[in-house]
This record gives sequence, C-alpha cells and structure tokens, in this order.
Amino acid sequence: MTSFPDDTVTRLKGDSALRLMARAPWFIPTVAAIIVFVLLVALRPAVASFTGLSLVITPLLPLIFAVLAQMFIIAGGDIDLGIGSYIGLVNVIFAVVIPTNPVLGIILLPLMVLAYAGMGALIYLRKLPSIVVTLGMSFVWLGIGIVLLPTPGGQVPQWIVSMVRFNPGVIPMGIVVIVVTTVIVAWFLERSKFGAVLRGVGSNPEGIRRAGWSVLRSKLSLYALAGLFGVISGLYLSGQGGGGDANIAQSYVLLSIAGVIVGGGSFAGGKVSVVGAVAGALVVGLIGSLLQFLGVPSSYQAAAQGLVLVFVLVLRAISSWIRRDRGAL
Amino acid sequence: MSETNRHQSFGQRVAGIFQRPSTPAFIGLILIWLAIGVLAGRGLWDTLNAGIIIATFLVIAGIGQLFVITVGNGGIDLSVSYIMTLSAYLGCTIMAGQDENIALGLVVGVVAGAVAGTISAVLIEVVGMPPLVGTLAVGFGIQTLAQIYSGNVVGVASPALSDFTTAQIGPIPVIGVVGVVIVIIFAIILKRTAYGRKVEAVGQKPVAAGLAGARPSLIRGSAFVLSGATAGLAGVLLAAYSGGPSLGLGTPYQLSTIAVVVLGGSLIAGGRGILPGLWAAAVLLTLLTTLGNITRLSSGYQYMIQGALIVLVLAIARDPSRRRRSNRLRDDADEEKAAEPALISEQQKEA
Repeated sequence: MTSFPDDTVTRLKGDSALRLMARAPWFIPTVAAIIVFVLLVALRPAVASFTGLSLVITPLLPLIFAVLAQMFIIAGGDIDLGIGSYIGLVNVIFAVVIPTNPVLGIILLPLMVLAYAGMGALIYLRKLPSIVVTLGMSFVWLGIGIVLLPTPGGQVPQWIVSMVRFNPGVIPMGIVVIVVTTVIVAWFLERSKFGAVLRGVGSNPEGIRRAGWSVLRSKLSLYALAGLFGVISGLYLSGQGGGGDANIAQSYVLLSIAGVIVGGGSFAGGKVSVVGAVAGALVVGLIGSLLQFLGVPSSYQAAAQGLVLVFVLVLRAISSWIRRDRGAL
Repeated sequence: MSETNRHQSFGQRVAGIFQRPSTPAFIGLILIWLAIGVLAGRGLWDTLNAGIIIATFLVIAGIGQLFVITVGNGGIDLSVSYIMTLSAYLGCTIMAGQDENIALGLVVGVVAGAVAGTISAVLIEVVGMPPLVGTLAVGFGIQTLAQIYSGNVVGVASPALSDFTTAQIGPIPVIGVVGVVIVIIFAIILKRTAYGRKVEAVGQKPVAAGLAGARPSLIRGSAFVLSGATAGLAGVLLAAYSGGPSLGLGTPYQLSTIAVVVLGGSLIAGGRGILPGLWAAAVLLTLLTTLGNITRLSSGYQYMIQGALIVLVLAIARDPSRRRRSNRLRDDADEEKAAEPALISEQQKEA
C-alpha cells in the first residue's frame, strides 16, 4: 500500500482496496508472521499473556534490528556478510570496554558506524563486490572482538541491562519498540525525500546521479544506517545476555538476509519493504521459537531456517514463472 | 639470439613478468618465506615444505572456488567449508581405519560434495537464486547434516592415506607434488580446452558466449558441481592429514578459498582465472599463519590480518578509472590490450 500514491488508488477502480493490499510486498510476510504466531499460541496458550508475549518477542529484538541493518544494505543493491561479526564486536565492547573504560567505549561505537560508512564508500568508489569486502571485514570485526575478549565472558554494566529490560506493563516493551521503530524507519525510507534517494541508489544509481544527488553520499548513508542499527542490535543482545562473546551473532548473517528476503525484498534492483522486513524477521525468529517449543534440537534450527529461505525463494520463482516475469528474485 | 637482442628482450621479459597477474602472490610468498627464515631461524626448506603440504588442501578446495568465481554472475560458493566437514566425516567413516577402503572413502567424499554442488547449481540456475543465498542455504543444510551425523559415528582415516599426506620422496613432500600436478591439470583445462574457454567467456560476456555456442547456465552450473567435488576431496584429505574429522574442520576455508582466488590475481567479477596465482596465494596464506604462530600472534590478530589483506588487495588491485563502463560484468580487455603488444614485439624479435 505504501508504494501507491493515493490518486493511484482512486484511478484503479477495478481493484478493491483489499486486492491492492494483497499485492503490496509486506502483505504476505505479515500474514505469515501472524500464522506462525497463531501456531505458537495454539501450541502454548500462555504465549498470549503479557509475560508470554514479552518472553517470546523480546529475544527477537536484536534480530529485528539486524534485519533492518541488512535491509539498508540490500536497498542499496549490496549484501552484507559481516553484520554478524560486527554485532558480536559491539557486544564485546559493551561487555568488556564500557565497564572498564566508559569514555573509550562511547567513542568506539560511533567510530564503528563511521567505519561501516567508510566500507560503503570503498565498495562504491572502487566498484568492489560487496560480498567479498564485507566477508573480509567480518574477519576484521571478529578478530578485534577476539583480541578484546579471547573467550566468552565479561559483564555488561547493570544500567544497560536494566535499560534494555525496562518493561513497565500494559503493553510488552518489545512490541512498543518494534512498532515505533517500524513506523519511524518506514516513514523515513518510504515517505521522505531522502529515503526515496536512498532506495533509488539500489535500483537506478545513474538516475540518482543525473537528478543531481550524490550516489557516494547515499551509499555512505545506507552503510552508516546499517552500522547504527547493528550497534542497536548489539545493545539489545548485550542487555539481554549480560555477557560478551565475539561469536554470539554469527547466525545473524543468514537470518538477516532471510528476514529481508522473506519480507518481500529482492536482490535485483534493491527492492525492500520496511514493514515486510520486520514481518520477515518475526517469521524467521518465531519459527525458531516454534521449533524450540516442538523440542527440535538447536542443531537442526539453522537448517530449518535455511530451508524457510529456500522455500520462500522457490515459491516466488514459481509464481514469477506463472506470471512469465523472470527476474523477480 | 644475438647479444644485443637478448639484452632488449630481457628487459621486456622482466616487464612482462611484472605485468602478470600472479606475480604479486609469488613475491608476497617469497617475502613471507624469508621473513619466517629470519624470525624463526628455522631451515628455509623445512618451512616451505610444511607450508606447501598444508597449502595443498587449500589449493584443491580453492580450485573449485576459482571456477565458480570465474564463471561470473556474482558467482561465489559459500558452502565449501560445510561440504569439507561433511565429506571428511563421510569419507573417514567409510574408511574406518582400513586401507582397502581408501578409494571408496575418497569417492564417497567427492560424490557427496558434487551432489551438494548440484543442489546449489539447481537452486541458482533453475530457481534463479543469487549464488550467495543458494550456496549459503545449502551450506547451512549440510552443516546441520554434519552435526547430526557426527554425533553417531567415529571416523578414522585409513593409515595409508594419512601416511600419504605426510610422505616425502627425499626432501620433496608427495602431497605437495600432487597439488602442483592438480594445479597444472586444471590450468590446462581452463586455458587450453573448449570447456575452460567457455568458462572464461561466460564470465566475461554471457550473452556473447551464448551466441558463440556455449550454454551459460550449464557452464555456470558445472562450476558449482566442480566446486562441491573439490571441496569434498579436500575435506577427506585434510581429515586424513589432521588425524580425523572434526566439526570445525572446514570453517577457515570459507574465507580463505575466496582469499586465495583474489590474492592470486583472478578477477573477482569473473572472466579471468589464474591457477598458478591461486597456488602461490595458498602457500602465502599458509606461511602467513605459520608466521603468526611463530611470533605467537593471537588468533584474533590473524583473523584481522587475513580479512584486511583481502580488502586491501581488492582495493589496490583494480583501478576503477580504467573501466568506466558501469557494467556489472567488467572484463579486463583494457589490460589484455596493454600486455599484448609487448608479447608480440618480443615474438617478432625472436623470429
């Protein structure tokens, strides 16, 4: 719906509002997220209570921010394989650097966001493949994390833990955070002028350049935003876990890509949907909880979540074959 | 050849060597080798020997990755590390410490890898997934398989195969020779056979290669099958060398197989594969790890150096001003043109 201006809706008289909604990229992932959630409630009715909701939704917050970080990169037509190690490094900074040297820690975090922006500039200016550069950088992040904290340990300061676990009641805080974040990011990326430029970088950089916008500055912004959301993801992960581990978020590489793709995003042309990405993150994350409730060992979960991604892409390929429209992936 | 002529062509020949894409890898290899000699005071030959043995596994797995990257279209195989681990378990379980099962164990390891590569190829070329997602999804599936499978079996490599990986003829390691022979064979396949030329042609200009009679999707798919097979072979051999399979066996190879392709001078965008460079880069990376271990560098710093090295080489190696065309499948026609006149004039002089 967000992709249609209001006058388009009135012009297309043949289509009902519902059909238009069903065609929006966020529709199917949202329905899928609701279905998975209903399955969860059917399995464990306690999930629908305040405590149950908090317990199920809160652990998904780091993943949702990681998916949004990946979404900014995919919107620019790139892929980020380093986000897992990056979030792991943020976690280590919260667990090791900030307790002993808060000033240094507070300086390091913006520096990391800057480093991410610099990585984007390097990829754009030297026309490098983002996959290889981000994979290489993932080892740099992981290396720094291991140097700072060779084995899992450390202690996240209490004020961060209580800040992240703040949950005053009525509505679980996790849901409030998700809704507020989604609204802000969706408005920024899909309604604001700057957001339109950023999305254009992925689909038509030449057009953006000819319209007088700087592609370099847009890439910088997209990577900086990804870095910022990576830091937020690391903040939540640290507050929830309480300890530090450089390898804590390795699974987020596949999960974040899966979230964006399940959420209606596509690699070609940098098409993304913010509501879809958040719904996709919920689908991927809730399937993890579902498998856990069903007693599936954790070693099977990576494969199951990988399979969901494959399943969605195969479905989409089939539907694009039916519509004879190749290149929808 | 007359004395003056020789003098001229010598200069050109030196210039020609420096223009080769594999030269930086060989120079880096020699520098690090000498640095180890100075720092450790260990015999230079022993260092190189050990380096070449361990590098051979990386060379074998890297060959498949090189073909996948060379066919272009954003080709990259992220399932290599997982295939290596699974094949290591499969191969060693079948060998079960018996020498008569060597062939069967190796074959099963290679076939398992090829099957995984075929699944990736179908997902990528038939379903239309980006290579990154297809191979990563297959990789995670394999990782889960390996985790489940490893809990139920105890794999023991056959002693003869283990001996083979460490055997020496005089001062020369056998497996190192095998690695060099494999590199030469695949270099001939890539540069001298119709199939290899199609691989590079598809990587440069898939449409043109298609019009010239190659089937781009088939060629690209075959690279993923090859990559799975070489990863499987490398996995079984590595398990035999390191005394048995383990779940972390393949992990370092996800990045390092890509690293050796890039460091060896092959084009990351596809269209040009350099096998001698791959070999040199594999020995270089292995010696770099040796250097790290000798100087007691923590694994964190070693990760940092490896990652930064790849980004640095990529950033330095390619000059964007040379290729203004905002084409995703950039070829290196400009560089080839620059290199060719030197070769031609040299040949004419010799004639």
